[in-house]
Amino acid sequence: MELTSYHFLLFILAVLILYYALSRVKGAQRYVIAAANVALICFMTRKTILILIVFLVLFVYFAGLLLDKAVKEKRKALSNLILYGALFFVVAYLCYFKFFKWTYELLQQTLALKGIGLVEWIFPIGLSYYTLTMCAYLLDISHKKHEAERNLIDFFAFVTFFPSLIEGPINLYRKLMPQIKEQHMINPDNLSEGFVRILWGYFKKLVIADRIGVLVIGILSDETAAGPLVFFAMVLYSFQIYADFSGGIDVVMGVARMMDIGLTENFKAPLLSVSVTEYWARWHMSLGEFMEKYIYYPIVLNRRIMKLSKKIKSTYYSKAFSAFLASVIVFVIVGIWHGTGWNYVVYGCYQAFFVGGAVLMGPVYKALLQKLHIQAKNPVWHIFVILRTFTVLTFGRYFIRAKDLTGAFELFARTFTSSAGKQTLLEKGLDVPGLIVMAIGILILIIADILAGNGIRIREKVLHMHILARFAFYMVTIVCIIVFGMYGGEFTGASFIYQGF
Amino acid sequence: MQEKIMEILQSVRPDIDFAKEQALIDDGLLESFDVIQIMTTFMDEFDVYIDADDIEPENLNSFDAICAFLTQKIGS
Repeated sequence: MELTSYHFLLFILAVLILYYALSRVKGAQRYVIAAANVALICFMTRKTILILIVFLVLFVYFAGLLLDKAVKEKRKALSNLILYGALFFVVAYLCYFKFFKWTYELLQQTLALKGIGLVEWIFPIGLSYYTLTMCAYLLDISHKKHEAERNLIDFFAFVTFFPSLIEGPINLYRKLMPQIKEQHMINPDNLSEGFVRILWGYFKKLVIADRIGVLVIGILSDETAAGPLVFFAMVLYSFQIYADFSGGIDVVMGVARMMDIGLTENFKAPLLSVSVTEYWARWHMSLGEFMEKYIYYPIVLNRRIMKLSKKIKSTYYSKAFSAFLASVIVFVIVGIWHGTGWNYVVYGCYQAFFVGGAVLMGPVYKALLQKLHIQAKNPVWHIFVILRTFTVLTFGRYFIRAKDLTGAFELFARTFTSSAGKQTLLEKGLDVPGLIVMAIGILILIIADILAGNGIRIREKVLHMHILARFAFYMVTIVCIIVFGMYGGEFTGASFIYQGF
Repeated sequence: MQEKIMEILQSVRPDIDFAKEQALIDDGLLESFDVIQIMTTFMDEFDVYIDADDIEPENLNSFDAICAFLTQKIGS
């Protein structure tokens, strides 16, 4: 079952009916959530994966209880032992599934020689997301931000919360758990807002992202395509990955909203970013929040690192030094989190170069702007820096679009090679009407970001429409998704890019 | 102390109206490096140690919240 399938919609409908049917039974909704989590894991993957997930949940649940006890008894050495031991286990669990597929394949081959067959390797669904939720949970207990959760069902409902199981957002205990424990009554506004958001998510995924995806594959797999056409394909890929990821997140947020649950927003009009630093504050915000809180600040404010940085005489650069160091570490981790392979490490370093570089070069940059009499709020300059940031990020995406580092460099080489053949967008998988729909889709994506950047949200406007206008809006959007959405065929548009990370 | 806090805040981000803004972190007005510059300057000026887990939106969202947070830190 995929997020874009009608099975998923039927599943959500069944969950919502049960969820609100039991709204007057105290504490029943959390059991509905836990059951829905189990059901979704079983529907989307093999049932054995459920055992792997439950095992990890049980481990963190008991580690949390022990840690809480040690913290309350002020046994620092013991609490550190439990904390770091549990964190090591959780991270190792993630790393094993992310990086050590080959060990399983080796075992499979060895056993196959002896006539013993092993099931196919499968990555536990959502592991990259809820392992971070678990790490944050343990760290917050040790920092006395909250106590350990005593109810195992509630803990399971929170950690594997089914809407965010597939591609996040990364949930924090103190934000999500109080909502899971609450009783939620049916509210037409929540249902309407959630429904509009789900429609918008499907529109972005099926009409925009998957259509762009066909063209991107068409161009990049054509070996005669070179020069600006390859760069254009990567520009399209930037829009594709945004529509794909944010579309999926809109579906997730929409489902949660229909259940009267608010999750951490993952996007804040990232197309309008004026710098790579700002982009990371607007893109995949739940990952950014995690990295900032649990890795960046602890490194920068570490006493030893502060002592080391004070050796630098300049006040600004002594601060910039630790921030630069932390940025490099954070972005290398972000890179590796996205996938195995050196291309992801280089991707992280590439982001760190711009974010860290902005910190180090900040005063020089400001002085230069002043010297050139450039006002940061000048509209022409503003558009220029948005396009500059978009271009820098597009080049960065060469590293994640290619399957490995060599592939990324080949892609760069193709971009800077002129081709003898005729460079055309036609015969690359989309016909002229398809290209027009794609262009309109991208335009809608840009307009939506501009509106969101100015605090205007269509789904909130829809809420205040007359009932007939609202109904017409729903119907037009549904028809657009059905008519213009990309389904099946050679291009499997069903999976989300971030589902694979 | 309040004047000194305002002076530090404005030295880092002269473009922000700290007296008015109520969601400095939640609205993303302060970037992480701004927070670092502000916190490390507080540490130097007021001789306090600020931990990474002190950096919470509720401690930093407004000028009043920052003053209350620092007063509590100095007193502890």
